[in-house]
Amino acid sequence: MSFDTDLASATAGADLQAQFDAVQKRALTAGAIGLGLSLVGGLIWPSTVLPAYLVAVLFWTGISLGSIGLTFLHHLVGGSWALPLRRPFEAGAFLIVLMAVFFAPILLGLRSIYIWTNPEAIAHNEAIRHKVEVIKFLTPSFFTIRTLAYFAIWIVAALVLNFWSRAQDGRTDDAPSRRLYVVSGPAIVLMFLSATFAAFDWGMSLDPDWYSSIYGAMFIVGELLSTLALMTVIALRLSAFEPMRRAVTPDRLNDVGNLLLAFTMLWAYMTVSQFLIIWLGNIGEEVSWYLRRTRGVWGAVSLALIVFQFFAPFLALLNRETKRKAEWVLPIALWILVMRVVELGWLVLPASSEIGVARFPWGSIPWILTSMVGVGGVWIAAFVWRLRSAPLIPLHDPRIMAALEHSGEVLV
Amino acid sequence: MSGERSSDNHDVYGLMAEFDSPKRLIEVTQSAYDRGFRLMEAYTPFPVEGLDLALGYYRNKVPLTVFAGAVLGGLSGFLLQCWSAMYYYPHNIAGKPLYSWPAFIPITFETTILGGAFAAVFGMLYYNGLPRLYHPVFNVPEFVLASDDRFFLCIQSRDPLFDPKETLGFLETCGPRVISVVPY
Repeated sequence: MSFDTDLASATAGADLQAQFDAVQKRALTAGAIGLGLSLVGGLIWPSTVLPAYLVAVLFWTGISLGSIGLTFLHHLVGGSWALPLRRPFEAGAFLIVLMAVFFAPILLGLRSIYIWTNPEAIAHNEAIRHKVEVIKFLTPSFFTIRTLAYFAIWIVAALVLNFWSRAQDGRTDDAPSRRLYVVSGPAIVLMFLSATFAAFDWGMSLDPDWYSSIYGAMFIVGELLSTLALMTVIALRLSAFEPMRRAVTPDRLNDVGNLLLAFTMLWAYMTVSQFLIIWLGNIGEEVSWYLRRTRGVWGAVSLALIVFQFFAPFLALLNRETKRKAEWVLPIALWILVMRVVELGWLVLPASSEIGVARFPWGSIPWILTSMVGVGGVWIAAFVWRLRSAPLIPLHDPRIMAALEHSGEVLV
Repeated sequence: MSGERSSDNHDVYGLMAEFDSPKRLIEVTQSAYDRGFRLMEAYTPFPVEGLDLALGYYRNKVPLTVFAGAVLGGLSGFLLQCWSAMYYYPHNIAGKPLYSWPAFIPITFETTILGGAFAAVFGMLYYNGLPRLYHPVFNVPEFVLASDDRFFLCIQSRDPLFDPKETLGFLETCGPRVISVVPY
């Protein structure tokens, strides 16, 4: 049960370095193929491929955003649960820089994705006309400025997290961690607000005739859930090697499993709240969003979300024995990730479709896969590059040290 | 032989050893468990992490009871609403169908939690054998220190492996402060 936090034993060994090389090579190859296919498809059928690309960008941006948020959260509350996750979180947070680049095609192809760029839609719908022409909120230029502002905030946050955490590795006084602790509270507020607005802009404005104030919270909880799931998968894959083998203990796995359970329940809570309020209100301008997402094949997808995104992981994670075993937590976390992609497809693809027309965009499904692999491949390769440039365990972090001391693990 | 032994132990509840530190108590409990003792109980002034594992109390029936209570609570809440809204007091509310399951979700959620919480509290009391007005361990005068700064392990005479001499000998090798015979 001992855990020493000196530099040599916290850095990846030769076997893990070789594994990193192999993963990077494979991820880059897959990424290049996926991006190439998406690029070709996007140039030929922009209005089919770009919404699918948006799904992938929202997924991976969500992982980076969730990483920033959860790292701040850990600096605020401490605890040893994040010992194997902190460096993956920080590397994931850093990749918000990459996602800013991957967002460029969305900004260039606004007209193929967002219906509020279409003069005809504006003319025919008073609610859209109000948002576009009267208050001038949904205009391509203002949309772009807001998007740039979000990324600016997030990049600063990610750099602060990465820089100060790594500064802490090399010193025994706790000044960098203390600074991180001080900024974490306000930073979480700022992150929550900016991510809410981003969700409104990128997701909710796909249905510009509709609004829901809980949408941002629902979206953010989904991002946090998928982030935790992906980082759990990564930590478990790394736990075949030192130093992660010592860091991923059954107790910590139990904590992470509890967090996955909590975020699954929170996701269901947000989603049901939005549905229940709109269902009870039963007002034409609000129910449109659900009519688009519960007719035809989308109805089956909605049911699948209830059963497989909530009940399946919820019931699986109830059992304490399950949460303590890697062979259970790994497939559950992977399952949560798959369902997050399905959910994003459900949020994005039916948008602005004509109500009552049960048309399912089969053509977009393969492009979701190419975009997920394309963006994801590059993301993973960059992630590994970032992860291996520092010790895999944060050193001298006072809050982790305190938690280790409490659980009786030996310190150096 | 075993029948004889159990009749010998009839008027003794068990043997209780007193220790200074929680760490020592966990070690002794672990070695008693490894020897095969199952009917034993530890008493400490505060929750000691790892003691439940050493006692072999890792698995208990409370989680299953809570799950059953939660399912029962959720079902009864949902069915109660179905019954009252559809048969007992059918009423047109905002033009919605009588069977409006989305409207039943919040109450179902609450009764699920209520059922689970009740099952947790009462199940815990039941499996612990509480409330209990008399317990033999209080016959040992030093036991009052269990709520102060001492840590006790009591091996009960009901345990099939319990033998007054052998068990006493085993406890003596563990270096306790005192070993007491606990009378009924």
